[in-house]
Amino acid sequence: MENLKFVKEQLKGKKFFGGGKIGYIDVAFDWLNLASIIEEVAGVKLIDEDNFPWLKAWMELFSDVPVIKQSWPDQEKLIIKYQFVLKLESNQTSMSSAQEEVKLFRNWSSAYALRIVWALKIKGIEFHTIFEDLENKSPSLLHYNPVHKKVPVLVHNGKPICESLVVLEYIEETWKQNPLLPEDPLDKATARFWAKFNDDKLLPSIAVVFTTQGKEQEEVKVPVMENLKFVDEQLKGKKYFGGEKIGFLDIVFGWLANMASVVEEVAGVQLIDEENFPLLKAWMELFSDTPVIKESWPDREKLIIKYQLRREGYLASSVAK
Amino acid sequence: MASEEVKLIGYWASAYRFRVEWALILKGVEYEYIEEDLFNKSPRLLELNPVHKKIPVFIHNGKVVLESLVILEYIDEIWKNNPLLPQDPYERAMIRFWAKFADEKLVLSAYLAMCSLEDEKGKAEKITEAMEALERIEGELKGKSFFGGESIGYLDLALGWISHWLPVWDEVGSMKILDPLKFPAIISWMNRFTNHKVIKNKLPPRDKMVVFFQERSKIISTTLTKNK
Repeated sequence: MENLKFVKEQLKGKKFFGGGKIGYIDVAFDWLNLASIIEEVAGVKLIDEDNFPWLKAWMELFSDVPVIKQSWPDQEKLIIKYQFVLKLESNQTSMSSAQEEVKLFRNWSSAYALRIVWALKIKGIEFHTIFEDLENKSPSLLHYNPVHKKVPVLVHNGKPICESLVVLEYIEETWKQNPLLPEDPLDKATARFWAKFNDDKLLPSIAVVFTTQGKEQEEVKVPVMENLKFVDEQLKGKKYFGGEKIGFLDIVFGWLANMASVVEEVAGVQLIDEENFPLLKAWMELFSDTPVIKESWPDREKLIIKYQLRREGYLASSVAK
Repeated sequence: MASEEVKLIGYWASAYRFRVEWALILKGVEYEYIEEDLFNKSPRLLELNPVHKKIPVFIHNGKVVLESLVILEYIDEIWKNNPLLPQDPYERAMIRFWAKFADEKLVLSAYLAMCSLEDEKGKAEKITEAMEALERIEGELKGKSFFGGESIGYLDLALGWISHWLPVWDEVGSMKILDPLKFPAIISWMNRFTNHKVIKNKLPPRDKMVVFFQERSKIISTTLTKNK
């Protein structure tokens, strides 16, 4: 409004900015005729007759000059164009204000970190990845996760969030599109219960099978089968743990879809077979095939090598005991 | 509201059960408490919690919710008065982080320290672990009255066991994890928490607890030594 006031003052006592006829300045200000388009599309009043009578009068006079009039672009088309531009602009601002800076500290193989990659991708959140060498942790990682010194760590606008399940809930609450958790409080509580079960019971029980062999391995396989049965039952009548689409619990159990077969191969044990766990087996295939999941899997060859070394280490130290 | 079914199955000495009970009372929710004998588990418990066979078990209009911290979040969502969790996602992440940290690091170390009757070296290690964890928690109080700020919140309930169970464990284990010189903020929080009008009327009797944990530590100590 202030700027327009300066402009209108230039018209004092003149027909055109150039005086009696159109001059250089008139041509420079010709875009002011877009003013009416801007006013219509953005729903704002800029140049009204009460505040800018000379400017309004000039706009009419200028528009009527034959050489000007015949060059105007189609008004209708202009309105449609600028409506679209406005929509794009507002989308960008709302997305970027939540997006701003999203960083994920991870390493190449961590299943916990993979959960966060999936969640961010499913919600379409842009993020920077910082790969950590866990044998040689960066000062940044130690700064952002002084308590556990682990990955994953999500840093959003400089604020760190640690522990994958806590990070998942944070992501869910901060970016509301493509919800991962069910809306119903009981369903939500149930999902959280099974997530905890995976982290506290299932995963550790499979880890024990991985670090043992022979008779001992046979014994520790028993609770794994029980745990897997509970999980298999949760899929009854459902395509995914989340129902029709991938949800929070699919992301939490997701490690099974690639790591179960790695454990089976490296530790020489059968865990998830089709006969005993048909639903789980079917889910693993469906989940793995989802593009956003498939494109993020760590290299299987590398995983086999890594876990072979690890198992050798465990077996060697247990013999030494 | 009066015709709502709200039941809590718990154990008299379990801090996890009290988390849930404190939350219900703070929100003025009417509920029925059912005591479960954890050393002689009922068929009902095995039916309601087949996975873990543990308490607390929370029942709301026939719906079963398990895991004390999960139950706290459920309660906060259903009964919106006197909110336990903050609104801001980052603050919520922080309290969830610290509750998880304490349950995973502090509880186990302190409990095992208490139960290490034979193993002096192991006990000293556990005490150090517990005190390191407690130091982090001390830092989180940051001059606040409660972890929840001016009033009791989710994290106060999650850490509430520190105020009444940890002193008992210190006594039974002949140790001093709760060193007032090292943890002045926690000590004064403990006083405020246990004197809170809701909490002070809902705590298990200390003398019974001492006897109970003395027995438990003997049994667990034997198991620990056997497994070595």
